[in-house]
Amino acid sequence: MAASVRQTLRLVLLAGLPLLLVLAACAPIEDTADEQLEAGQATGATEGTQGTETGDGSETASATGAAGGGGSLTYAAAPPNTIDPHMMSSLGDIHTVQPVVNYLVRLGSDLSLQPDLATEWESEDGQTWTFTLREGVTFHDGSDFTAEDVVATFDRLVDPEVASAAAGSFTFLEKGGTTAVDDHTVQFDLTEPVGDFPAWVTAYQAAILPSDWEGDFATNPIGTGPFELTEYTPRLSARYERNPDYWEEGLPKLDSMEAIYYEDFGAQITAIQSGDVDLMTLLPGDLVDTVPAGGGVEVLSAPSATHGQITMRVDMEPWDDVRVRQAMALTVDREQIVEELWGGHATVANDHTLAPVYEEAEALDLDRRAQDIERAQQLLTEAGHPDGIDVELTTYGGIGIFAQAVAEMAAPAGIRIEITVEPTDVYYQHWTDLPLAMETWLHRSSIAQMPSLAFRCGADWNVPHWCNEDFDALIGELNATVDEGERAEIAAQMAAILHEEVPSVIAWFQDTLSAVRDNVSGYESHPANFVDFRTTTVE
Amino acid sequence: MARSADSGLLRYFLRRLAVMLGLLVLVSVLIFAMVEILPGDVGNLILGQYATAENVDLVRQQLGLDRPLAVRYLDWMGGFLTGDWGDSWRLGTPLAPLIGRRLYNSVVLAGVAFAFVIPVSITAGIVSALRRDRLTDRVINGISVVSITIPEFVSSMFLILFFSLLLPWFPSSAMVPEDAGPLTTLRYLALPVIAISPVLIGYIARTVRASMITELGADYTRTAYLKGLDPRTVITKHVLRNALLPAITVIANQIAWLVGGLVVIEAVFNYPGIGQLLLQAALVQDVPMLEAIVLILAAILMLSNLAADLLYTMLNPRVRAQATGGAT
Repeated sequence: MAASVRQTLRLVLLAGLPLLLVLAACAPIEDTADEQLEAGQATGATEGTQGTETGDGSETASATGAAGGGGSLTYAAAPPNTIDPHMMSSLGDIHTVQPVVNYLVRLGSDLSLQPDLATEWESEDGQTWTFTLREGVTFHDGSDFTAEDVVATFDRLVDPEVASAAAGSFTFLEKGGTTAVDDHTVQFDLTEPVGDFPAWVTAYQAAILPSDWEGDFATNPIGTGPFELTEYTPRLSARYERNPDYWEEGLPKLDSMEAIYYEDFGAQITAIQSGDVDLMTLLPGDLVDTVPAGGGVEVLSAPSATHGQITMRVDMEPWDDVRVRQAMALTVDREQIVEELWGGHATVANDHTLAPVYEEAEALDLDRRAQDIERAQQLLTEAGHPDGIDVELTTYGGIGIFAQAVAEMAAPAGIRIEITVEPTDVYYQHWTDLPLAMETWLHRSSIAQMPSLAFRCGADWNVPHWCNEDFDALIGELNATVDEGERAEIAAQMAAILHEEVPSVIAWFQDTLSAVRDNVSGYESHPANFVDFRTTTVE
Repeated sequence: MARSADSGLLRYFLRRLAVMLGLLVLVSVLIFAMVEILPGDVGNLILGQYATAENVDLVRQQLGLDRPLAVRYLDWMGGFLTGDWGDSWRLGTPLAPLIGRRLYNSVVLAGVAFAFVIPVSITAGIVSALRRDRLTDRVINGISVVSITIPEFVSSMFLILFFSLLLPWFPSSAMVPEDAGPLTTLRYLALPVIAISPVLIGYIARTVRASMITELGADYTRTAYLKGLDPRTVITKHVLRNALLPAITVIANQIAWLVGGLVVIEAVFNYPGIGQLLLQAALVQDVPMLEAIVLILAAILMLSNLAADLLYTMLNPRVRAQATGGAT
């Protein structure tokens, strides 16, 4: 019966195979590829905040050179999971869909709000918003773009039966809250005032689709965008042809494009070096030093407000003592992280989320917290921990290296950190319960949004469980203020509170990186990692 | 006599097939059970990290995950058996064409690799055995031992560095263009095939060498020589026939690995084979995709082993007697 023994062995091997693969999931191989974005992370700019402000409709892109003739681009992207525009949640999804669609408002790579399918927008009270739509725009199937399409798009986005990730952000908009005033005017009736609502409609899921769209973007890829999706093969590639009837005269310049999906960033980097692809839509910051200078590949950098947070539960020992949290913050050598782990493609941060990319925070002047091990030890002793503390830090695959660096820096001060690295989905199932946690927060365009999501009393994603009523009042004030100078003042006060109270250690703001070969021009990195190929050309 | 031996072989074959089917069912149950036990949630994985609890519930409901495990399994099994493999949970696209294309790619890569590996390794093994302990043998032996120890992710990196980046002879991505002819296809597949070959060649060559040496020293070989047969005839007619038998088993054992196990090679060369798809299905707990791929790979593994055993049995009268003897 040797045969049956052998069969059993084979069975064990077979059964073990998936298990091994799943164990492999614990290794940090897929995190960057599947780096999740959340709904509305890219909402709005620093302008367009309150009340009666009106978008500048005169700014339509003018004709620049002959249409087409810009060559054929091959770009590398992470594989999409879904290309239903309203259901997108990962970078691969976005980098596949965005060439095909337009939004009401475009978020520029300088973080400005630009007219896209809407030419103007206004509101008296911040609660009722009227958008004037562009005329003469057609979808790829030849039908006219009208207000009905906007209504259908936003109704689908917030429909509780659809489960779009955007619904979690558009909490102030209900199905039926969007109405067509006439063919080219749309009105949003929000459930509460939202001063920078035009910023929110730049959410990457809020792509305008035709009202009679039948679903399945792979076979019905109908948008108004500069490119038409002609072929889509899941997890393999996508092909695009220039939209000859595109509404921006002279654009796009490329004749065609092909997206090739790579499961692995290392393979993307060799592909761009060997010239197999012309462009990488995302270059993870920790791989930037694997792209040799002068090899015909240029790294494009866009400063953003994306950052890592080490969150400390202020309602649990030992983090309930602010001195312990300050001690933790004092152990971090921020310059070293920026220089060595980010290769300079990051900015030192000061334990608050009000990044210098925001207009309100450009002139923010706050004492920079430098590494000071002695002071950290002193604070720990004052807090009753003369022998230091033993704590456990939980994080997930992609950013494990930063956790490692932080743990090494904290050890000399007596903060002994044991790191647990979890798969991303496991982490995000319980992240708000963790005593000491570390995760990445992606760029948001409204400066008030990140504090409001992460630090408002009782907010769903307030991981440190921190609550400060003065701070909450400042968020409200910021939302209700239009004047730039006053907004900057409020932002400075918010930054000072976070810096002093340290609910989270925030050591850097990272740049969004992409890479192009030297035959590509007219492409830029975008802080929110959007792609815009309208002006791109290839030699 | 011959008829009873044949029917014995047929019964042996059918018995093996029945065992195989039973094992496949067991494997499918195990996968369902394991995904159930594993941490992580499909709803969270599909919606992204900041999904609301309501939306996660909605997705679970849409996928039918609110039903009991047994009901879900039987429902899936019913569909699978009637050819309805369903949609991938994560990608929302039908599974059969997706998996079919990936499997085709993997089989092509495996086929090209075997077409290269088998002649080279068997020749090396034979030469090595015939020149036993001489310089040729030592060189071949040394190369075999070294090549077994070079992991393919190391060799593939060097291959890309030298033959794709420094000398731009081959593409660094092995994704063959759709309209490629056979020569272009070979050019795209060259680096991955060269990367996976050393381990296989070393392994097969050493097996062939060992069995050749055994057979060369066997009594029947000496008898054949003593009968005055031409050495060439002795080797081709007697020794090789026996010495290559173990190679069949070794090669068959590599088929499933070559088709489904090249996860690293596929990642490094961005080759759209089935290994990457399996890895992704496991990572995101895409149960219908995971089930379909694992069952296909398990079937390939079992069938290639069965085929090897049958071939072995047919070529080796002693084993045949045992196999059929047990049945009759």
